[in-house]
Parts: sequence; C-alpha cells; structure tokens
Amino acid sequence: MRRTPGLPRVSGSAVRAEVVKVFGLRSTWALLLTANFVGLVIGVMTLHSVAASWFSLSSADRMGFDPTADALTGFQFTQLALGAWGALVATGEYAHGTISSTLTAVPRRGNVYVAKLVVLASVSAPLSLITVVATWTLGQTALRGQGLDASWDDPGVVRALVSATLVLTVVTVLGYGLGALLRHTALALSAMVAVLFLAWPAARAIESITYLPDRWLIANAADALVSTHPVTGPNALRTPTPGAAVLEIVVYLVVILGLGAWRFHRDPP
Amino acid sequence: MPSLPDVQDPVVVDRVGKTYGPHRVIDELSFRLRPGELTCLLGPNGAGKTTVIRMLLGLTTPTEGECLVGGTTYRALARPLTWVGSLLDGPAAHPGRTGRRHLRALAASNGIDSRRIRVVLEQLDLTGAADQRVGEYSLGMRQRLGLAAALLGEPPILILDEPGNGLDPAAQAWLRQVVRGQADTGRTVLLSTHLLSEVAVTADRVLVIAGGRLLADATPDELTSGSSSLEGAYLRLTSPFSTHSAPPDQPQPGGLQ
Repeated sequence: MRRTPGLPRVSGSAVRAEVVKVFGLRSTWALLLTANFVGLVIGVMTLHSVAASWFSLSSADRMGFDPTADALTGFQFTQLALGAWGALVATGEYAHGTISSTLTAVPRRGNVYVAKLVVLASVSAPLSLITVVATWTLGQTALRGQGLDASWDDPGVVRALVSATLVLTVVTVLGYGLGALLRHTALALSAMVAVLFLAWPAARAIESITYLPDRWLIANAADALVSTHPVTGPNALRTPTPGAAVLEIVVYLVVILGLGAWRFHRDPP
Repeated sequence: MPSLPDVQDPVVVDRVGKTYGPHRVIDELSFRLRPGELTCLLGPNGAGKTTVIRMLLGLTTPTEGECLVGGTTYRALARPLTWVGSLLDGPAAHPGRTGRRHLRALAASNGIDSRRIRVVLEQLDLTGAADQRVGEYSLGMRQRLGLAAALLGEPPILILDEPGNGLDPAAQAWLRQVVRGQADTGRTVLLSTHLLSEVAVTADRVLVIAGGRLLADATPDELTSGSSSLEGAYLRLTSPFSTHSAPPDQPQPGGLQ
C-alpha cells in the first residue's frame, strides 16, 4: 500500500461537498428521525412499565434496576439504524456508481474518506446527545411518582449520558468503516449486525471456557459505561471495567476504520 | 469567459500498461494531445478505452507508465474540476438527489462559484428539471447532467467517455456541436466512442485502440485513404480484435473496457 506519511488531511471543501450530499437525501432524514424517535419511545415506555409494576417485581429485579441505564435500553434500535446509516454513506457510492464522480471531484482518497467520517460523526454526536438527554429526562418523569427517579447530580449520571452518546457515535462510524471495507450494502449491514448483536450468543457459547469474548462485546462495553451502579449477578463476569471498555472501543475504532481506510485507498471498481 | 490557462502538454499518456490478474488490458500505450484539438478514442468494446480514461482521471492506477493531465498526475490537482471536465460511462449522480444538489456538491468540493450551476443548467437545457430527483431523469437527461458537471469548472481539458450514449439523433447532433465548439475555443477534448459517425464529422484526430494497444493515430482523412470509407478502414484495423470475425485460435483481448 502506497500512502503519504502522516495523518490524512481533510479539506473544508471536501467536507462541505459531503454535507450537501448527505442532506440532499430524504432517506437520511427519515432514517435519523425514526431511529432516534424509536429509541426515545422504547426507553420512556420501559421506565413506565417498571414504575407501574414496581411492587410486583422481585427484590433482585429491584436491586438491579438502574434508572439511568434502563432509560437507554431502546438505543439498541438507534444503534442499528445509525450503524446502517454509516454503512450506507460508504456503500451507496458503490451501489449507485457515484464513487467515480466523487473521486474525480476530490481525487485524494484519504480526503474523501475523512470528510465523510467528519460529517457522520458531527451529525451523529449532537443528535444522539439530544435524544439521550430527552429520553433520560422524560424517563425520570415517569419514575417520579414512585420516587425511583435519578437526578442530574447523582453519581455516574452525567458519565452515563455522555457515554451513551459516545457509543451511538462510535457505532455510526463503525458502520461506515465496515461499509468502506466491504463496498457492498448487504455485506456491510450483515457484518455490522454480526459485530453488534450476533457476537453475543457466540460469546456466551464458550463461557464454560472463558468470559473474555463477552467482555469484548461492544454491547457489554456500552453497559459498563452506561451503568450508574456496579453490575451484579452473572453479568458482572461479562462486563469489562469502564477503563477496559474505553480501551476496547478505541481498538474497534482503530481496527475497523483502519481497514476501511485501506480499502478506500484502493481503486474503485 | 476567462482566458484558459496555458497548458503545454495538456494530456500525456506515456508507455502506460495495466494488468488485471492474468489480463493485459493496456499495453505500452503512448499518446499526447494538443490544445484546441478534438481527439476521438475509437475502438471496439473491450478495447481499453474506458480503462485509459479512468487512468487519466486517477481512478485506476496504471501498472506501468504514467498519465499526466495539465503536466501533473490527476490526483495531484488541487481543484481538478477547474482543470479537467469529465464524463464517465454509467450514472454519476445518486438517484435520490436532485440535479441541482449534485452540481452543488461538485461546486462545493472544488470551490467553484455557485453561479456557474445556473449557467451550466441553462446551457444543457436542464433548468426546468434541476429540482427533480435524478432517478426520475431520462437517460438523455442524465447524460446532459453529466456534461453539465464536466463544464461546471470551465476546464481547459475535457475527457468524455461515450458522451453520445442515450442521446437521440437530434441530441447527438447538438452534442457534436458543443464538443466541436469547446475544441474551437482552445480546449483539449478527448472523446471515446464506438460510433463511427461521430468521429467522421467532428474529430481532428482519431486514435484507434484495440486489445489495449494503439493501432492508428491519424486524421479521419488519413485513416480513410486506402479504404473505401472510414468504416472500412476501422474494420480492417480492428478485425483481429473483433469478437465477430476473429478466427477460433486468435487470442481474445482481455476483459474490462
């Protein structure tokens, strides 16, 4: 692989072009609004259910209840949709044959790759933050009647909300990296679902030997960062420490975005 | 119209080769284009025309040799659309975007004044369709949008792959006029085609390629002398590479066009 040494450079004009492209598609708006709305509704409804059935829950369930982390349970749907959006931003160029037009306008491939990444992250992060905070706030209102609600200054709450935003953004760009690597929508979506969701039963299958793969799942790393009190019960073995969780997410980003960059530098079909 | 930058050797293809696995698609190909000249790259399907054009545009990396536009490689151009306008085979714009959006993204990527968008839309008769989604365009409209994109940056060099595809006879005639006009204002125009009529009427110079090799570099008149017609000359030159007339023991030219 021939590459110029140093970090890839990105130009403002390449980023502006990607912004025009991304927001010129109705599907972008539809996907982002639906994904965030579904995450919000599921989170709030979950807390409503907990509040309504609180007195019939077992003491173990009550012990395990986390008013912050449980408000964010609907975000698995949002993750799926954001990861799909990231993948489509890359694979759409190949599916529609527009990659040639894109690269004749901006022939430095690293510039295009990073420009798309910048646009994805800078749309995903603020949008996720708004939805996460809105879901948490509405969710706590649902818990207030039973006195179960958390408040801003409770330990771990701010960290949890920031982490949930971070995880959504990370999943968006991981989808993009897989899309750039595989250049094919169905393959990229399958790979993303496998990495995000289907790795879970695979890791559980070998728990008699080791819990290490469990601790490397993105979902469990996310749990570690979003929980406001220590994870107990059987899940404790599956959940990495918050420090390890951050490290794992960085490794995922480096490996998948690195592979995506490598493939993106190769000639388009 | 601003004066064109003075480019000595606008397009140089120097001993270029391209190999895909076992397939030799381009072999020791060299040519230079001169400003103000309309050159036709002519050849049968699979001759390597599209590969040459994609190498000039930095989309395909040559295995050997180099392709230069405006004295440098395409990938080294800072605002390439203001140097080289190009039209490639196949769709250039996402079907879900409007024609205007497509041009706006291109203008933004190369720092081109957005007023140019209105000018090229008008020039290509697309003003009425500018805010329709490209998916609703006819083949001819898509081809015109591709030409609008090529002219957007007022480039001194135009490289067009099969620009006549999908155009009806009236539009073909109009295209010949536009392309001729671009060359007459001093631009360097390279146009690939497998349609002989386009060549005879418009080109100053014809490069015939087949099997990835240059078979002839001549004016249409020179090419015709010795044959009853341009078609006769072309068929005689390319017959060893034609899929219709090659004898069974003749190796076929490889793969990708």
